[in-house]
Amino acid sequence: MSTPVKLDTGRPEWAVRTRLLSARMDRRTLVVNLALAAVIVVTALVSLGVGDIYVSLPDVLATFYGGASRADTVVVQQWRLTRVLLSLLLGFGLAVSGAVFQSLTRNPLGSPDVIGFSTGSYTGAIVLIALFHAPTAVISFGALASGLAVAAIVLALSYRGGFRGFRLIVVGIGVSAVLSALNTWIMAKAQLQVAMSAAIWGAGSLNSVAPDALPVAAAGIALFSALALLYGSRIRALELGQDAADALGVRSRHTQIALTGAGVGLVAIATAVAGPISFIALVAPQIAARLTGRGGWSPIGAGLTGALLLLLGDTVARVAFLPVQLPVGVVTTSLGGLYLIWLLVREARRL
Amino acid sequence: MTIAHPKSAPAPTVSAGAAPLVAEGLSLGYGSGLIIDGLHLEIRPGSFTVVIGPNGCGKSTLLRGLGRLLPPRAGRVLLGGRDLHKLAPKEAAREISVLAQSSIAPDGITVANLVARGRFPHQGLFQQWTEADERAIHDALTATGTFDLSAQRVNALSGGQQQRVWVAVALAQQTPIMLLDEPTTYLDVAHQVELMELFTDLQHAGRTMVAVLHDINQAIRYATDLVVMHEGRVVAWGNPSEIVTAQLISDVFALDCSVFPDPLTGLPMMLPAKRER
Repeated sequence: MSTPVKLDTGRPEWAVRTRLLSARMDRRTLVVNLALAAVIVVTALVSLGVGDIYVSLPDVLATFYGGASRADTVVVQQWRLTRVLLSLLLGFGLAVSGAVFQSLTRNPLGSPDVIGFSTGSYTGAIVLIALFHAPTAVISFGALASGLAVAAIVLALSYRGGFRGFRLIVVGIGVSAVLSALNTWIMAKAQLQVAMSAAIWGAGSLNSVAPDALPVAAAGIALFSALALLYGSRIRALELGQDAADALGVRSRHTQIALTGAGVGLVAIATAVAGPISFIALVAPQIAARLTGRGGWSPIGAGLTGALLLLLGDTVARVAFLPVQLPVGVVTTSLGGLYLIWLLVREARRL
Repeated sequence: MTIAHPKSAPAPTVSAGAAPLVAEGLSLGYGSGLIIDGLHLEIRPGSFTVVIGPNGCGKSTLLRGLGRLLPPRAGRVLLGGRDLHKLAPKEAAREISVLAQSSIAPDGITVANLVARGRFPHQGLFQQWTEADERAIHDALTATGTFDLSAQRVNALSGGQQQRVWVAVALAQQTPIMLLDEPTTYLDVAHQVELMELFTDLQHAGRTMVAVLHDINQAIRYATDLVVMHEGRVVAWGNPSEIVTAQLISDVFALDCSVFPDPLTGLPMMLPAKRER
């Protein structure tokens, strides 16, 4: 055996090399991810304490380790814990979905928001709320179905022996525009009360989620995220272009279809639980890429960033204007809008 | 026009296990149209086969078909007698690498990390960074003269350097056969020559090289086997010094030209005529 070689990849990294497993880990990515996880834990503990009833940090910890008052335990664990966990889960799922679409389309504008899923699910919800006065569970289900239907239409219209990222985005924007017009028309025709409740659903909110949504969302998000992670090395090959990926032995169409399924599945779960929460999917992967200084596929960093963003957004929505609780979608849309302006300005400067 | 078959002449060193790549009644196309219909061709192991022809003659389509990027409408591509499109994709990718025209380097990726992606067909779920991977990347960087660039960002390199890095990606795949789709397009003449010399070195090291080129004289100079295509068919195939004539070039390219012996190599050299005014 010849002497081992050492490569300078330009990125400090740790490598593991045993008979069963050989892998390498980008050092900065790992440090950033651990730091994000730590910030998430602290933010979550703070978020559990703040609100109309304030619980101090030691008292929040005491509700987990014992010695807390009965009132504190009810406030922290029964009122707030589900919501904090759901915001982390949904934020993670939305961000991984965004990372999937941005990698597939090779475009920072590629996200489930852009390809029409969110607008489509909103159309379904509005139709059910305004025309059929449907109960909440039916609305979630109908929104999901119509979101999936619209995503399927967009994908079918843009599929031509493989996905071209730009075509997917343009078709998505076109279909979204048509549906937005339809949504506006139904809202204009609807009674004020009905239109109000449809608008609240459409903003995306965790204000009134049911606790039993948590295990279902957790299982679904874990499943689809794991699917996306398993495809990691194939996504990295696909990032070089479809021909390059095929030449490397990736089944590129199969991979694109499986990943699209995972991406749509993730955003579908979030939409079913909380309505369309915009911009997390768009923004989180880009922020993560800047934190790690590494472009391309890094789903864990994106997911942790998304979890933190949605937790922060929901905490602000919950406590900033007490006693009024805002839908978290209002906060993410405001922040996301600023980001989108910045992104467009930057892209325009590059041209 | 008749099809000349190559004689067994220039026989470079061939690595053990090198298999011929054969197109058998191969039909290829996009959408509803056929670009290539029932084509026969053999890529000899150890050869430097260069495909030339006018725009739209199907030369890049042929390369895509040979490289598994385009499934055949009819016929087969055989690698050592086995149907290429029936092999597992990763297994095929350990035999044939393709330098595609449309490849994109992700934002901010470094040279070594891009070349590392060429190792995909050798990696499994739990074996992502073996010593063999690191050595293959090291060797690919060294062979292409990009080792000193390994820590740099690909997007910051010049066009000539970037193309050598893409060659390194294909080399890291460690395949006996390399297919190159217009590898010298958009490069200045010095970088074109540098790359062609590199490909010749790789051929002499035992690989089978197949390239689609636009420059007829470059093709004649470096090819052991020249394939001339016109309207989806192979119209001439063989040793360049035996098949290249002014008649062939003017028929295929619809170009009035003369062919002289190259003063440096003695091989044929094509010069287009200037229109009389």
